[in-house]
Amino acid sequence: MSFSSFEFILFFPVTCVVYFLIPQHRIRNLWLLLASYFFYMSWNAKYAMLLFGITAFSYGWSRMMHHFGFLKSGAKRGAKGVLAFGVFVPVFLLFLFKYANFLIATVNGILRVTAGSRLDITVSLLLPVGISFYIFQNLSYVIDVYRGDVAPERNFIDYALYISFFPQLVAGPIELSKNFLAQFKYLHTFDYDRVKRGLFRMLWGYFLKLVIADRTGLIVDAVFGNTAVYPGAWQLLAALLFPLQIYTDFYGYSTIALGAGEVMGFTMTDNFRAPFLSESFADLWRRWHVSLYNWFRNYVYYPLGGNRKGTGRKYLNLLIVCALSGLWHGANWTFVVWGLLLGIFQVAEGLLKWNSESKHTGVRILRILLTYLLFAFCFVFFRAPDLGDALAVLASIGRDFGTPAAAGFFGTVISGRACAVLVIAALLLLVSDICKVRGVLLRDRILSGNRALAWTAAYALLLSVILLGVYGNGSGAFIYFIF
Amino acid sequence: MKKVWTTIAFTAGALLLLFLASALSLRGIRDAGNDHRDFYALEEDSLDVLFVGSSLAYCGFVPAVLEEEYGISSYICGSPNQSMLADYLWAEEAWKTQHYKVLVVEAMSFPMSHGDVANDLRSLNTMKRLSTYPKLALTYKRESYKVLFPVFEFHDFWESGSMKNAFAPVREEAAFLRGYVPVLSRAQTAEQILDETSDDSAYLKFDHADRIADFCNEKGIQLIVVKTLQARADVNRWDMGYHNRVAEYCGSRGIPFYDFNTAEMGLAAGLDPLTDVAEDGRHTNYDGAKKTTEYLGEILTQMSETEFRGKSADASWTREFDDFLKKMREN
Repeated sequence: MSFSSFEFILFFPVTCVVYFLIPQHRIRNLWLLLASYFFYMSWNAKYAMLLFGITAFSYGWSRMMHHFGFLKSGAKRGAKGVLAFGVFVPVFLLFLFKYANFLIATVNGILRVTAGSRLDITVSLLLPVGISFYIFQNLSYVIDVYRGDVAPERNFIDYALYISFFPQLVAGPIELSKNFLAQFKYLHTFDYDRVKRGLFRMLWGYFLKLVIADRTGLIVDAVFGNTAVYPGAWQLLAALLFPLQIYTDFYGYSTIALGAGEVMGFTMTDNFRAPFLSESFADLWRRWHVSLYNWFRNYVYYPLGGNRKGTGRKYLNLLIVCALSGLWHGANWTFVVWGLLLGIFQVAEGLLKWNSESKHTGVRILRILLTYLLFAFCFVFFRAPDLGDALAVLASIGRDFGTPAAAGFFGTVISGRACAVLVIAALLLLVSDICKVRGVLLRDRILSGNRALAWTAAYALLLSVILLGVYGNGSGAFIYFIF
Repeated sequence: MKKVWTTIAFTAGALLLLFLASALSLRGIRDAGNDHRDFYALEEDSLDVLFVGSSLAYCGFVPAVLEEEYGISSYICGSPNQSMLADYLWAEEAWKTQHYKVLVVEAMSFPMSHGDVANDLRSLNTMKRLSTYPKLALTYKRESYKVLFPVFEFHDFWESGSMKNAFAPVREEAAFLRGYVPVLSRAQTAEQILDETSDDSAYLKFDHADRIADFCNEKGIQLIVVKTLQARADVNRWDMGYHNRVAEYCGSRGIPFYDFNTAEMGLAAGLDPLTDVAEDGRHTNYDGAKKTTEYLGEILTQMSETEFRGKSADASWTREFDDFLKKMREN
């Protein structure tokens, strides 16, 4: 059940109405848990068993660690080993479902070159939706309990809800237990203004997804789906548009998730902080997929030593984190290269001391554009099915650049009017992002101001989503669901 | 309490906007077909025969010929790709003002009755009565919201040239056409489409046909199924497999079925695919439609139990039709 499906449009209000009608928060949590599992099982009921299994394991193991004193602060021998097992089990399951075939293919590639043989093994398992997200959330909890950052949760329903809360279950934000788990401990009363703000936020999320992301996707998919037909200029256009597509796709999803949570009284991490206004990769890295960045910073970068062990080690740690972050996205070398490129650009910026902000507007704009351009370059690897394809796209961009535009592109793939809509919508996003960076919360301004303005804005968004959104032919599916 | 009223007012405003946007989108998707204004302008209870079906129906029968030669008044409620469900809803709608005696269904509606909300909304777009839409919504269940608010189906009407349509005044059809759309070209080649017997018709369902048959039984209307002549079978698929399944169904319900693609029917009506079908190979041209209508006229006049109203005193529109055809031929 995608957020942009008809089923969700029915599911969400029913869930909310029942939620607010239940007077006791424990029963409310039980209701939300059932609704979340129903939401998850709408993809494949079998997946729920894995979700439940991992949740039960992390819950039980953390209780056991705490009960027997296997904590960082305790002097008990073997505490690290106990933690390692608590981390190993979810990571192993993630590996089994997501990376096993990738590893086999890589080993086979090496064997083919060195020994001329191959392993005759394949793992036939469907990748459960959102597995990377909820496993990382489980891991954060187990590690936090070990570190003593959070007390082990007693109530299994609250814990299971923290892992499976439907707005963020399949594509985040990956919430740390110390920020989020506590929110299930008290009753969230119905607050008219909060509900209003949450619904408006959801509407904005749908606008980002259906009007910008899916319309941009029409161009990107048409070109990258048939690179042999489109000359270099078109491939460059698609490469430049893909970051916008994936940003609005994922930002749209996150905004709907945050809005849905807000309606019910929950506050979650905003995953994007106007990333395309970043003047450097270091800045971009902090603004793009913030909850994943926080996770890797807390549980990988800092334990590796962070920036405390010298410049060389800092850059090495950064490269490791970036490569792992790339691998987290998918079992393919393209993602690893994407992550490494992000890391290499950050290291280069650090060495060239380019990661401080400039005071000149012109220079700042140039740096923003350059960062976007290089980010788009990285995303060629992210989008391509394999490294060869990515390199072919890059080579093709440099070739045949002067070839006339593919005949009929603006008539068949996307109309002139649709292009105009896309440009206007993207400008609206730019204005919104600029306001965000300057600390102006447009949504609050609109909703707390004149009622006529608020209603006009809400109606305009609603109509835009309906009239200008792209529907059918596979649109509406969120890119990050496959991670 | 104020917040409750605000919420109600906001929701009502949103619904009104959706309703307006839906109306605009329905105007935007209007095509070159009949707008049925002349149907609603007909004198009450002045029709003997109602034709329903797709473009094969509105190109396949000529009401002016039926009136002029047999004194039988008729009208074609047809639209492109019209399904059997839309045929049924048109038959019901027409009954509200016209107690017609014979309902002729063009048989291509059988293959087209597989359920497509966009198609049915287009077919019923020119219908005045909103009472039909709830019935359509009930039929489509999961997509009922698209029936109630068609903007969800035709949300991208602004993207093509149809935006002009949305604001353009409604084009009225000439009353003398009575739903007929004349075609004058001729097929370049012709094939014997009933020579092949495929299993392609396996998907055919007859639930909406049953609704039509039950409706006709209830109202005492004579139901007839007619398959017009085609010169090729690939675009609008029709072969011996389809013929047999429809014939079997009609036989089981006691409905007369005339397929002008069979050798004996073609011969009896004097139809020739090379001269009587348009160049697209699917629609009968004017000559073919005239022959089909004349053959039907003979059948209808031989129905001893059906008494037709006779030629209208004011049938001057049939002369207008002749002039119209002359002009078309000259051009």
